[in-house]
Amino acid sequence: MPKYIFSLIVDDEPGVMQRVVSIFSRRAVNISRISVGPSEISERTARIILSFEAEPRKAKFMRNLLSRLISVKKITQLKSDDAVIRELVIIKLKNHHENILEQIKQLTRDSNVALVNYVKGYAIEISGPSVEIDHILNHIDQKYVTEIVRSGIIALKK
Amino acid sequence: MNMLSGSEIVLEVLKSRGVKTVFGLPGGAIMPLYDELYDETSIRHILVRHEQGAAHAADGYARVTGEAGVAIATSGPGATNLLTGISTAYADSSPVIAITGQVPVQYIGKDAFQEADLYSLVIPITKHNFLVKDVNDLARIVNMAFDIALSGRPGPVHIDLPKDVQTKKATRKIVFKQFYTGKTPILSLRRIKQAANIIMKAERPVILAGGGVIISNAAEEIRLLAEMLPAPVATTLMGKGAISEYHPLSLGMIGMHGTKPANYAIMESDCLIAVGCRFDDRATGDEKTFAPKAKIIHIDIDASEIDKNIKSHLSIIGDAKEVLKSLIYYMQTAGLKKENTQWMSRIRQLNKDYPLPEPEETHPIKPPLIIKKMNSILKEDDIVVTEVGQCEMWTALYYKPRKPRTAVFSGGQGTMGFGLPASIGAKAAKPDSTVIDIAGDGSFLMMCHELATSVENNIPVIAAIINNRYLGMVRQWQELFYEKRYSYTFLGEKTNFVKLAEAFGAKGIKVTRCSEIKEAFITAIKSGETTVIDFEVDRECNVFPMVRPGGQIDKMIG
Ligand SMILES: Cc1ncc(C[n+]2csc(CCOP(=O)(O)OP(=O)(O)O)c2C)c(N)n1
Ligand SMILES: [Mg+2]
Repeated sequence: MPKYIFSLIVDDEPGVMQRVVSIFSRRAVNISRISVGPSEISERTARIILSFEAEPRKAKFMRNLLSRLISVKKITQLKSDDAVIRELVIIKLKNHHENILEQIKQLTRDSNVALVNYVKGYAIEISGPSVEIDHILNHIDQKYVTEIVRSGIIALKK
Repeated sequence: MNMLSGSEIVLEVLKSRGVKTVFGLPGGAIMPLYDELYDETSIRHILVRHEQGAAHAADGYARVTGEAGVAIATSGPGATNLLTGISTAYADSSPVIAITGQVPVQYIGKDAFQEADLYSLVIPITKHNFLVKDVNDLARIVNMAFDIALSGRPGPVHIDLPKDVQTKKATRKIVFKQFYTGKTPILSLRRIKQAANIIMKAERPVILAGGGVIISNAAEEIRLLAEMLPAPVATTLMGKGAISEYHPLSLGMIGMHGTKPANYAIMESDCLIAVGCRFDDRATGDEKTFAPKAKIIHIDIDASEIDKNIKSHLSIIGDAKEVLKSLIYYMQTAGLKKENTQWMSRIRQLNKDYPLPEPEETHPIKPPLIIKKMNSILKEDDIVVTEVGQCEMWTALYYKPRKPRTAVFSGGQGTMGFGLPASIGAKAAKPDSTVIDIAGDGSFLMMCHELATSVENNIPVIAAIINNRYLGMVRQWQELFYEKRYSYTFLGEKTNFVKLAEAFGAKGIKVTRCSEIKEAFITAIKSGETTVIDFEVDRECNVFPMVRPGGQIDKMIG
């Protein structure tokens, strides 16, 4: 099934996530990633970026249903070829092992994933497109890792 | 400056919006608002006996007027009692404003007495909802509730109003203005032209009018379009009244219990102009075989209805009245000249060959006869509301409304118990119209206590009970699809509806013979009193014609 990413500008008020999410849950569509943050448009609005898989007709239906919500001010569909799409990952190191730092440096070298921070001895932060992050996480040595957190995606139309 | 309290603000906004009648029942968390209502002379409060009745009454009021209906309840159980009514209104796009008390702001979330999380409960069954935490937001919120409920595709709006917000005084002056203009779609002239071109090429056009036609007051445009093409008009259940059913181009209702001419015409059509309908499964039957030869033009104000159930060839997003006006105008200027002689004679033939079964004057009474006799008595502004089941489908088949907003059904939800309170709402709005609830004996008992509301508030409605002693529609399915295994559908025969009516101070009339039907209606209308007519009918009479669930709509039983 095709993947879709929607960027919504919504009223920043209690329950707004519930409204958005229930549109999907009622139609048995799984939201694979979702992130929310303040929007630059005004203090009273927030931006939600969510992604899901669906048949095109269903995706269009979801978009129309979302646009019916009074709390949703704007919807933009983002496509990988005309948007910057990023996910942030924090990898917590086991016993302060630094061994995988080199490994990650290697793996990120020829990719769109950036090593954005290294909290000495504790954690490594990387950011990039989800697919390439999947690739990197599949190739690092799990024995040096205790925990991995991945954010939802954030994305912006080019 | 003398600042208003939350309760005063609510009433001021209601008045500024022209609200003259509200329906409700008080309790602890809504007492400040009721205290304010006590002295209010320009708003009539109708005390119901169950909050569900208030929601249905507000809904009935909204459907016959096109204005917002208002229901008020207390927190917790009072508020949850409204839910069925709100959900019924949502399914049929009815502008109901539900206001409920809530525990004071500082108690919210602490399982306080009579606290229920209405905010979460109503999200999936309202167009929008609010929890008011600051009295200074209240005027804006109540105003917005009206704008939201009435704009675009209408729908219910809920306002959760904590008790302390009702008593607190605002520190800002209240402003009356429109806060929300709706998400008005821009009409695509290109699509209007495309539609006109398809329609002008069509040889067998059919218009399908749904509830959206009623809501947007587009009945006149439907008639104009039908006569100019010419094209016959079928309606959905919610669309009944979109065209006078005495009009020669009217086909009646489509669908599972539609008329044969309507279903056949749809299946033969090469161009289906569907206006303000959502192609519900009860209307389309098997969607894969629905209108197989037709180019479907779907006109709706809600983009999410397009291609949801039936894929259209062309869609136009917009208000039905606006779209039809432009369509008619465009076709007139483009010099449409069509005869459709063959198609018109085919339609005449269909109407002649497949009239509704004529109910005979036998004993016991065949229910359709009751509806037919009622038709002959009613005037064009009189209103028929129904409960749910066979009673509803017999009405849908045999009742012939002449005007929009004179046929009221719970369509999307099929809520038993809707009819009586909705009739009360309708009668409160239209005191000069006779209002009749065609009730099933099962449905009637779900809200029969609202007889008290009708009697005590002097809002005289007529409940005509098609008393078959069965949950008849379910029994019909058991007969047809479950080998006559009548599992828990017989209701027994001890309930005495005449005595029940009298116990509430209403009139009760028992009718067992065909010859008494007309007389009973006339007596009830003339009396000006709340009247229950108990029609003892053929218990195992079935609603025909009928399409099997999920079947092709021209394959009809009966
Ligand atoms: C609240 C509710 N409960 C159950 C149903 C399922 N149901 C649909 S029709 C029907 C029978 C209605 O019986 P009655 O009111 O006597 O009408 P009849 O079909 O006999 O005319 C039932 C139980 C429903 N629609 N609504
Ligand atoms: Mg019955």
